[in-house]
Amino acid sequence: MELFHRDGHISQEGFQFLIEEKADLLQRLELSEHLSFCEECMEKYLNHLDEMQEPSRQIPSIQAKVFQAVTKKKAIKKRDYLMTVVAACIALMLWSSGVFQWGARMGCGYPSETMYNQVFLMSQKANDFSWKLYRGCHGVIDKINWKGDYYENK
Amino acid sequence: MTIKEWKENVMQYERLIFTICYQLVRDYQEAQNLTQETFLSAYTHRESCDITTVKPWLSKIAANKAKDYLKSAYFRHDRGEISYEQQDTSPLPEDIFLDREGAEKIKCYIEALQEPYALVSRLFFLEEKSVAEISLELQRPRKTVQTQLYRAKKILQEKIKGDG
Repeated sequence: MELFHRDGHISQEGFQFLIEEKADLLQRLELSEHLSFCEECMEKYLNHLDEMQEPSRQIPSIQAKVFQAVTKKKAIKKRDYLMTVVAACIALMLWSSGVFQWGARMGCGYPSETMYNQVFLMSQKANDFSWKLYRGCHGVIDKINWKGDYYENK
Repeated sequence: MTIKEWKENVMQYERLIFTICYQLVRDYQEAQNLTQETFLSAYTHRESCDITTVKPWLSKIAANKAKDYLKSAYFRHDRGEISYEQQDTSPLPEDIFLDREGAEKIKCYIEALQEPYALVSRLFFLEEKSVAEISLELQRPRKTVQTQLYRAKKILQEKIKGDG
């Protein structure tokens, strides 16, 4: 019994073996590997499946699960996008406030006490602002999460 | 493919995709998971799909998903066998191929191999072609050639072991 022809394509026996669920693990691995790149054999296999009688076993409907997974995926994508925007805003704000320049200047020589205080005050302001921004965005993010959960629990 | 078209395709082809996955993996639960993964993958790459070739496109994704699952299942099964039999100390086909007598023996074994291993083994061991050259000549992905060679080597090793 040969699953493949000498030219490497799946033989009639090979298709029959697969459809009648007789192929062992390695044979199924070889068949799936070939079907994943050979359009010619895939077409033949689909024709065989079209000719096949309706299977006796019950085929589950996965529509609901798929649609639910996509809704969740969308929500996660939106959340990630928002988090990126928040992070970019904070970075931009810190950069425009000059914290990084002070930090760089502090690296060259001994900074004075006033410079330390200024840096401390600026970083506190940046911290306050980022918290406000985070809390503002949190509501939106929560809503999106809630939407995902809502569909999940439905 | 628009989202609406994608949804229609889920409804139209879910049975077909499940059947493909089930026939390949022969595990009801796993076939369900793979069907779901197939449609999720199709959703992610829906823009690259030509609406006139949805059926083979989805089937190809399903075959790919099943292949990945079977690969790891085969690897686990293979590893289990190796650890059970302890270490495989039989010589590699390429080592035996170095002496004249061994070369004749290996040649016979390779000629007796079944597809999809016969052609790749002949090109690799007897004609000394590289994986890239074989992949080009046989129009098979490079990874497929590599794994087929790996499995062919294992079959040859077993034959050598059985012989000696």
